[in-house]
Amino acid sequence: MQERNQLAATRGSESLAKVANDTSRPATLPAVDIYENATGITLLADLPGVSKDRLSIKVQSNELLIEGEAAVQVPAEVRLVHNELREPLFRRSFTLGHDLDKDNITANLKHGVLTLQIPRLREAQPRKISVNVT
Amino acid sequence: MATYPFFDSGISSALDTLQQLDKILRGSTAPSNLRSTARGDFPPVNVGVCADSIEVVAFVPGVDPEALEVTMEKGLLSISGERREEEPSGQTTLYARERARGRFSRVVELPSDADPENIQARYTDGCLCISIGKRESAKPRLISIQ
Repeated sequence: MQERNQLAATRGSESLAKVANDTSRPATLPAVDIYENATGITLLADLPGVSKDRLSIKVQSNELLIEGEAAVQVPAEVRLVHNELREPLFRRSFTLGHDLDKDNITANLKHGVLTLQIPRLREAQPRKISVNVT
Repeated sequence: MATYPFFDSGISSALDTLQQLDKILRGSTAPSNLRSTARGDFPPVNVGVCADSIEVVAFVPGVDPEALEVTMEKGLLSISGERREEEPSGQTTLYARERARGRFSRVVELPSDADPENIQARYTDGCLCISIGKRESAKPRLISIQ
């Protein structure tokens, strides 16, 4: 029974790896809130247990990748009896539109919540175009 | 100090399968645990045991520690609080709203050897870690052979 479970688990992670294809570890999809206003996009992601040094935010071509690993310190060796959060690695990626300014993204991490501000490129910000009557 | 484990390849894997099945079936008329209903899945909770304590971790990011409440009564550990979200001001378009908001509450049934007099809680990086001591009588002891 136990062996069969383990086999199932290995096969499960293999197929996940194929989906993710760049990384072999299965990960948890963090919950996000995304909204946009005139200046840009704000993204909030729940990353409980992730400290600043275990968080990585990468922008490659037009993809934004957020990866962070939760770590919780306990006084002694702990044996798990119940676990709802199974994969401490949080990973989620987004494609960035061409109207966004990839070089000026700001990130803030507080109490396990990541806030990303992705500004729009200046020329992509809404402008009122005045019509000249000739 | 040690790091909290997130997976256990032992006996729990068989239980996990049952729990997952329970989650799937919850939408139907199948019986579920009274104290963990389908809506009550925020925050996720992990429970671990070590030689002299029970370590409960609730993953509650973005909460003011003042707004968290931990109580222990009759072997039940309750974690409740409220997550207040600042609504974006001005004209905005909302694309995703997956993060839990508002009041939440979780109840964890503790083993009978938990000591209600000896509880410590701390909040770091959005994780609420609660350490409940075990009663002296329940701790493992080495018995000397005469």
